[in-house]
Amino acid sequence: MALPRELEATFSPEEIEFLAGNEYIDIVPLETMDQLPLVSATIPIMKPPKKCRVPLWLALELKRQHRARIAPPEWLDLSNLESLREQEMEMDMFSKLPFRWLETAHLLLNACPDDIEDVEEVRRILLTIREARQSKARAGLEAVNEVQLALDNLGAMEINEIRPLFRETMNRMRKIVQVSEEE
Amino acid sequence: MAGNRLVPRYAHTDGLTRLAYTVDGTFLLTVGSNLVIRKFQVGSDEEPESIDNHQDPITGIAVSKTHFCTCSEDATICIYPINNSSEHTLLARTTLPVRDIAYSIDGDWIAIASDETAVKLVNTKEPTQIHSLRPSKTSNKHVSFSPNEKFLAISSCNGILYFYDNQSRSLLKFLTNTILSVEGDSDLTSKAIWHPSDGTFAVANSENQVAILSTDDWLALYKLTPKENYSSITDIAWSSNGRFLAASFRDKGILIWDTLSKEIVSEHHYSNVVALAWQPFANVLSFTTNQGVLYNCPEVIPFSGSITEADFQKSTQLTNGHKKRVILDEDEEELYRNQNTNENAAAAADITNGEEDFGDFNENALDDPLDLDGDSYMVNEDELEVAKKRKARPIHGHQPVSFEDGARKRRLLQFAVHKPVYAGSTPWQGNRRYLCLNLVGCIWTVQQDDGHNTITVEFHDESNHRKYHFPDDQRFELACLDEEGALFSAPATEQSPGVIYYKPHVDWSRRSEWALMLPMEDESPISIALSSSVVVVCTTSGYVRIYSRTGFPISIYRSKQLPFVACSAYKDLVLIVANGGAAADGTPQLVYTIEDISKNYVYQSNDGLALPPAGELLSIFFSDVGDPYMYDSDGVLLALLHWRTPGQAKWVPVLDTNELERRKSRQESYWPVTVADNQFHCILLKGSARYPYFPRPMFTEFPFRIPCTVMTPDAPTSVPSLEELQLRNVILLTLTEEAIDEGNVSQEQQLQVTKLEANIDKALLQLIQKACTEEKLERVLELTKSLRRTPSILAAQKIALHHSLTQIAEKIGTLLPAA
Repeated sequence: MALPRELEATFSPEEIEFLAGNEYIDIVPLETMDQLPLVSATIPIMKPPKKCRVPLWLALELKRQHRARIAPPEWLDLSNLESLREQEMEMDMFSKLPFRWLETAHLLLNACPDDIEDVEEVRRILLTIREARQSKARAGLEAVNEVQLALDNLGAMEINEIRPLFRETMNRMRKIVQVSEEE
Repeated sequence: MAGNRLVPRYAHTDGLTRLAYTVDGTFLLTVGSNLVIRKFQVGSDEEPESIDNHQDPITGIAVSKTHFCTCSEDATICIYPINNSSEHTLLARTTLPVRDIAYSIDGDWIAIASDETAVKLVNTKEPTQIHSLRPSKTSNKHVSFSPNEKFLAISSCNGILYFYDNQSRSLLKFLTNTILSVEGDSDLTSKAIWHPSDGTFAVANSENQVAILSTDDWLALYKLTPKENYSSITDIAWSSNGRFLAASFRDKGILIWDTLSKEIVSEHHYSNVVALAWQPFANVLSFTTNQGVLYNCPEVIPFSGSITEADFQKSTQLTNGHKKRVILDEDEEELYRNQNTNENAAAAADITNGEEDFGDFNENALDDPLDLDGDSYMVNEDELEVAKKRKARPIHGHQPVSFEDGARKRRLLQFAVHKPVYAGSTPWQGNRRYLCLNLVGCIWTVQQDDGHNTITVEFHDESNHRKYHFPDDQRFELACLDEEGALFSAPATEQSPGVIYYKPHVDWSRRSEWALMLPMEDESPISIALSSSVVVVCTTSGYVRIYSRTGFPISIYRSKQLPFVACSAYKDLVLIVANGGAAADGTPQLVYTIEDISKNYVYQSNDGLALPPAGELLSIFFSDVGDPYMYDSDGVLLALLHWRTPGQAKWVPVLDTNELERRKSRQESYWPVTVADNQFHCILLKGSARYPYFPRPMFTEFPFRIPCTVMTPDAPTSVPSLEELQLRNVILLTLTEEAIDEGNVSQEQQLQVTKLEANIDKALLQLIQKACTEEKLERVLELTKSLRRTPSILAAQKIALHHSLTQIAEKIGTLLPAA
């Protein structure tokens, strides 16, 4: 493949973000819109003020055109994030966040800060959580052996970050173990 | 002991909370750990005003006649004028967290007790004038000025109570072994609580008693002992006339003593009460807990022969009209006016005479012994007729009247009237309010400074109509919105009669908007409704006026039941709800009438509206297909079944919001909007918010769930879920079938009926399957009898055979219609 060196081993953050666009999210349409038969799914008729469940990419596009408002997902609310932050601080394990939390949160905070309550506080808390998880991931990497590395509840973007290092490391370790077993 | 259920007001978050009434008793101010000050209007259930100022938990509040002052752990003290609480001035700063403040009686000085060793006295007019008193080498917890302006009491954390002379600021006396030695942030009290008039003060002593000491000899006059196991006194408060003393105990609750008899007259069990305040001159005690919850307990001392309403009146002469006005609203005031002068003069005469036998009080002063409830108005036999004719006081949060207490001689009927219900509208929040909020859009009004309002009409679907706003001189109070136009109404004023104004959204004929005046003088609309063909106005004169959408009168009649509560309309159907008298226990009963205007046929006439026990109506409306639904204060949505047949109508609960999964983990309430597509559309209100917020609230839809079985959300195929599913579909089927006009069934309706029948049978067959596995033969047979379609009965038979239940299979066979 004709990919640049850096991209051969792993995805770029933009690609991960693009993949996250397929997740479903609730929107409140501001106009009546007809049904939209697409390849992957049919977008239902949208009639304000009823909420509608559409893929994130469409939600962002509609928001950009001021034809819909986005209803933030359940987990992206202040009280939930605060309790997640507490969990993150206290436990060694990763707290349970949706798989694509980082990308989705990033996209939403950029596209629709006016639809999220207490958006500054949310940003701050997400940053704290991200940092805590990053340090845990770093510490957890040390436990890699040739057979497995168990890091539960890691998000897509986070996995993507450690993938190059982890992949190489595990490969080498496997080779070393293989060689030592042959002897 | 009050039998009423106290509604907690969530004022603050966990932590120390303090409260104080303003001197005239109109506002109750609470402060707490979440940094805001809440200003509640006494006697109303409105959301309190919040004032956000400090950076750290607020630890104290003090009031003077015109201002109030707060102190906080952020070491600042701020004062605010009572009327305009958004203004505030920083009075002083300390270096360490402030624990308590007190206003001097003349309001000129504020004493500040903080973790510093000095107690500062700051002049409120000139904050640069500061006096420092240094009673001890420890921090100070409480300060209080004596009402006779002689003393300033300082409670230090070393357990010593210091008394300074108010004029000379010199130390007069210090008392050891009187109060406990407590830390500055403890919830226990070491304060000297002064009696309102006689120069004595109360303290919580080390034996968990309340000792009352006099300033003459600095010895205890008497001690009030609590019951067994009551310890850790967190606050003490004297009632406004100094007769009753309330003390709160950390784990046990509140005890109230009558200081004349030194007996406990009332006890209330609440845990973690930290602060108390008596409402000035009323039998109402407000208290807060360290969870930040505020409770107002009316009639905290039960009335009996020796304790009456009059015992709470002020002991000196005051202008009656003024005093009463702040506690009551206008309707009661009318009733009071006749009796005020008599009653208060007598009260004054008697209470100021020191040794009064309170048992004789009534006979001397008044013609008839009156037994009164702090919340109702006074009625005696002569007044009863007058009271019936006047408009009785509408109530908020209604409480049932109890008759058991034998001491309440001749308790007369309390006329509780259900107040009007405006579906889709909210009270004033600041200077805005919603007039109508529904699935089409929302109408709100903003009060401008120079007397007029601005009304904005906004649509959810911006593609059809653009939002617009217009200035409104007539101050419209009610509005209705639908796809074609908006209807407004304004009450009658001295200058102008009541007005109804209709404005279409799309004005293709240029002059289709119209306005009309209500013909009678002083006739104001109480409730209005708009449908695709009619405009309904229910007015204060008792008339129901029905106009067409172009403004010509179609019908007018006077309602048999008054006063009006609500009205709603759908195509040609009109629903009017009115008060229908009181139930056996005094709760207001509501009745409704459904009429078809074009056919001139009354479907239901004054049939009962099913309110829950001690509940009230929050909203009533037609669904998108024309069935009436109501939402009550218990959070239940009910549908009206069989309403097309007179005498057959039934209110069936279709959704209980208390059972919702999401309700379990958070505090939420649901503001009803409407029912569409068999789903309940509402606005989610988080926490203690009661009304939708500005600017654009989001709707949530909940599908119906009949509250007939225990909810098992994770098991949609469990028996209870299937049973509920089956019942839900039966109800929906009933509604659909009734809507079908015989002989004119549309394709869509037919499809709907078939689909619902299929759903019912599917649920039943699954239940039959489960019952067969458990070999519950009787149940299998019963379920089979409820099946609606022949193929389903055959399917049931097959299921029975599959489970080798041949006996049942044969019995099912007999149920089959003759082939």
